[in-house]
Amino acid sequence: MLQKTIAFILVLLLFPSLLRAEEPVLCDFVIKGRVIDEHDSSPLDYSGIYIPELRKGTLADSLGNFQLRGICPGTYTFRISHVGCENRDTLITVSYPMPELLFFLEHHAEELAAALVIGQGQYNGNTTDISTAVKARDLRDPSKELGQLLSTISGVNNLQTGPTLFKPIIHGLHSDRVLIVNNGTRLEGQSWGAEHAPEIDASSAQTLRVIKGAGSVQYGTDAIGGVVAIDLAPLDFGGPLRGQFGTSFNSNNLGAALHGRLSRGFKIDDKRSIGFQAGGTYKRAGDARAPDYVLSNTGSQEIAGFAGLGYQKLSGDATWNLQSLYTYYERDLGILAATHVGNLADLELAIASDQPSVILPRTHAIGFPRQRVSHHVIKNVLERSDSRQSFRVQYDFQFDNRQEYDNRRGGRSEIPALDMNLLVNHIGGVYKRKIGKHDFSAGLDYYYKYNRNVPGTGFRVIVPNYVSNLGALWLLDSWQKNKLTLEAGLRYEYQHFAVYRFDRSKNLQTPVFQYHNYSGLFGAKWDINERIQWQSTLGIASRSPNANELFSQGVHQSAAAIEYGDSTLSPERSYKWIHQLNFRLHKLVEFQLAPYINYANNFIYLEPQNEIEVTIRGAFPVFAYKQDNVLISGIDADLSIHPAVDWIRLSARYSFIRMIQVEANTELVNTPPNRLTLTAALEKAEWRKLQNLYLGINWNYVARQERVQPNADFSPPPSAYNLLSFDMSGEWQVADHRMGSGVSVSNMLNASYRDYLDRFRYYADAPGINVNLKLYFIL
Amino acid sequence: MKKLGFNLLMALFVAATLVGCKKDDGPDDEGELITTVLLTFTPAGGGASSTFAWRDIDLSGNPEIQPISLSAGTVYTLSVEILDETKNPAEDITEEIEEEDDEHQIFYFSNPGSLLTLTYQDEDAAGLPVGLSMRAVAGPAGSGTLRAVLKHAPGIKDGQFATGSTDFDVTFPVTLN
Repeated sequence: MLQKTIAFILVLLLFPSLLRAEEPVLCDFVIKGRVIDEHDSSPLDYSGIYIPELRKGTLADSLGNFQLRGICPGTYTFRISHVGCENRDTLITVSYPMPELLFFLEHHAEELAAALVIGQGQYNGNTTDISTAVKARDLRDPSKELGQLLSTISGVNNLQTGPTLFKPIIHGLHSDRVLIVNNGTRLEGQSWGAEHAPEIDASSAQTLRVIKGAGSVQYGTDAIGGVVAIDLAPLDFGGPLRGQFGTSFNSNNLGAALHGRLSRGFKIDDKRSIGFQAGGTYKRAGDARAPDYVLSNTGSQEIAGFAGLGYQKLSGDATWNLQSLYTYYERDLGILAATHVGNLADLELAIASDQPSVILPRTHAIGFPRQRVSHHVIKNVLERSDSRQSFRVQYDFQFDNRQEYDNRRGGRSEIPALDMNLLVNHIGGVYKRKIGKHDFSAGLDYYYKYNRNVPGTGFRVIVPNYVSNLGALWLLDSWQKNKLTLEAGLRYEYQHFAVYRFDRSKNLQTPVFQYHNYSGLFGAKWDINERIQWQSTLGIASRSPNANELFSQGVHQSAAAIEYGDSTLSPERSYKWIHQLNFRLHKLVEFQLAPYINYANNFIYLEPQNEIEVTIRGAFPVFAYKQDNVLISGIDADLSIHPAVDWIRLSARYSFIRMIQVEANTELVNTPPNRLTLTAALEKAEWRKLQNLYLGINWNYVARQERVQPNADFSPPPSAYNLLSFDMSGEWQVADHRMGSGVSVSNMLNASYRDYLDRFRYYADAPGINVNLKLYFIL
Repeated sequence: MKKLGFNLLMALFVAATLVGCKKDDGPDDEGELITTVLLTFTPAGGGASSTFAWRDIDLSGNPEIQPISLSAGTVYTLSVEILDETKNPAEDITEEIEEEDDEHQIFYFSNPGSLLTLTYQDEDAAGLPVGLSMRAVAGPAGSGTLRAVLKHAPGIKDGQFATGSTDFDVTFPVTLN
């Protein structure tokens, strides 16, 4: 009897499927595969894999590998896509045993290697989004700041505060008019001012995209300028150990950066698996150098990290997903010493002088003035999805701290002159369902934001304390037939905004504001034929005035100006219509044209008042927040040709923009000047033992901003300038892994220039020549 | 697992909400205000001293300025006092300047130049002038202005007006009888 029992148990252990003999068909197939270039067998990274019958898809990793889980047995169409390649449909039968799939695509060398990830990653975007991705090659240099990477995209500029602070400008708009979505979480704190860069470690991103249309429905009504989406690689459930390590060095600021990340999955059993990823970045840089002098006190130090954990369970045709992600970002940076001015006379002295007033020996030490920011994000997501619908709940928490230190009297420099905390709680739900040709989704959001000035600075606060409660509801529907996709969405937000501030006589005032805002979009995407694609989105966005615009009162020290807010300001609304035409003549010419027009109603801006206020510190010019209708229009054009062979590419990129105040018929201050970039490049997917070889020369021309009013600023816009740069990189195989390395030289001719959009152009030239070396290893 | 995740989530949510209570901490006392500059002229040959004030206590931009009135052709010693009169009692900022004399300098501009001739009577450890104590020689009878500017130049003081940032910049009308 005992022997029989043991034998029975043994049989069960050896053939566990006997126990489930009566269960229905199992939908637990895992399809693994790789996407490869037809010509040279190089991997096609980030290719899309989609099964139309199941409406299920995934994205290949940097080595072209992908996995699709939870597939039922049957015969399906596998649609493989990659930028610069024709889509390829293949019929494949899924049955036991399932071999690893290998897809070959015809691919011709193309720079937009990461552009096909629209709608993937944590960012919940739209099908008709007009978006552009940063090249994967540029993401491999960990010393690059987010803004520097984004400005490689046409239509994107940087509002700079010296050589270390970059705030992205999309089609002329920045700060809280540009929405930054970091791994599916809205980055808060952008209303703290233009001299405050986004708290994002760009080197951990797998994809970095700019969505140029206005009117985000999923993340907020206030994306008047557009959206920046940063995504980590998705968790690889049950996947093997993967990783990437990179380092780079810059000669100009004697800076070094290190980045590393690892991901790994574990299978608990057939249905349950775990995914884990973690990474970190460290950067240190000293004073930057203009061609003729050291830019004293422009060093910086940055520490960033992330850790994510996910659990996935397949049950029937449904997939359950529970994910948590923590990201941390911290940066200390020096502010150019010569910018510490006390009044208008000091600023005029600085403008009149050719050189900054403080030039000290080069150092890595960070003196005064300085900034210190730290940012924590915790995100938890629970998601259930099957072949027809998905449901997702997300809770995220953010804590942002900003401290500014100044040169102060009486040994007070170590006390921050400004110390602000912003705490944000968000809970949101998203439901998505397929109904016939429709892709329908709806969502709810609740945000609690609390902005507090930490007492003890010994200064009047700039942004007052406030509590904001915001509720939102949104609906989105996308309809697809043959080559045409149409999309429409609407978002409504109610905001209760309670301010706690003290007036000059130290009396507490608690004004309360209520705003009703909405955003909407209508988008179309038409693949006219294999060569021409047309996209168009009409977006409506609205933004409530922020605390600065409502309550500024007094000297804004870093701007050497007196600024007055206006508590009667109403929300601004913008109507942005953007088109994009993609034209491709096989292997020869690629052309992309994106014209846009943005009419902003009640646009809030700072207007010079033509008056001077005298305080004991001297005279200051007066500025006041006003509203006017503004018409923004422009065009981004990208042309790329392969004149003889497909590995030589000549390309041109041109951006033109005008921002006009309708009533006064004058150009707004800080309208980006026109730019033209010409590139000549050699690109080889494979050459001898090297892969992804790139060698390029860039000529960048930035025109003078001729149209702004002379009295609108402290000094006239700087002259036009030309910059020459060079970039070379390549990869090679080391066992099963990939190594890569590159050298690039920017401002090769060591030209002295000042950029109109650099707030420190009054004081000093931009940095001179820089040699950048990078080395990376992909596990 | 799911339950644990949910509990953790709720705990975080509650914790995060609890932090947000203190909305009205009270305004910070401004630590580095200068509201008042007092110039005291004492005749070098003996006699009563006279003090003139440049004062903006409510920081309204509408200062109270006492015109300087001196005797033509007379030699004076000039001493400077700097106050924050929003505090009670008024805070003496002059002491801070004396302690950090290697970071500060007061510059004087007489318009016309012949009105008052000013020479520094003090210096810091590096031998650079400070300007809290001056010798002022009044010219012939007439009128004009005297501008006094305090510059803060930590680590970079070089005796040049263009160096550093301005802490005060005040102008008095002057009459010599």
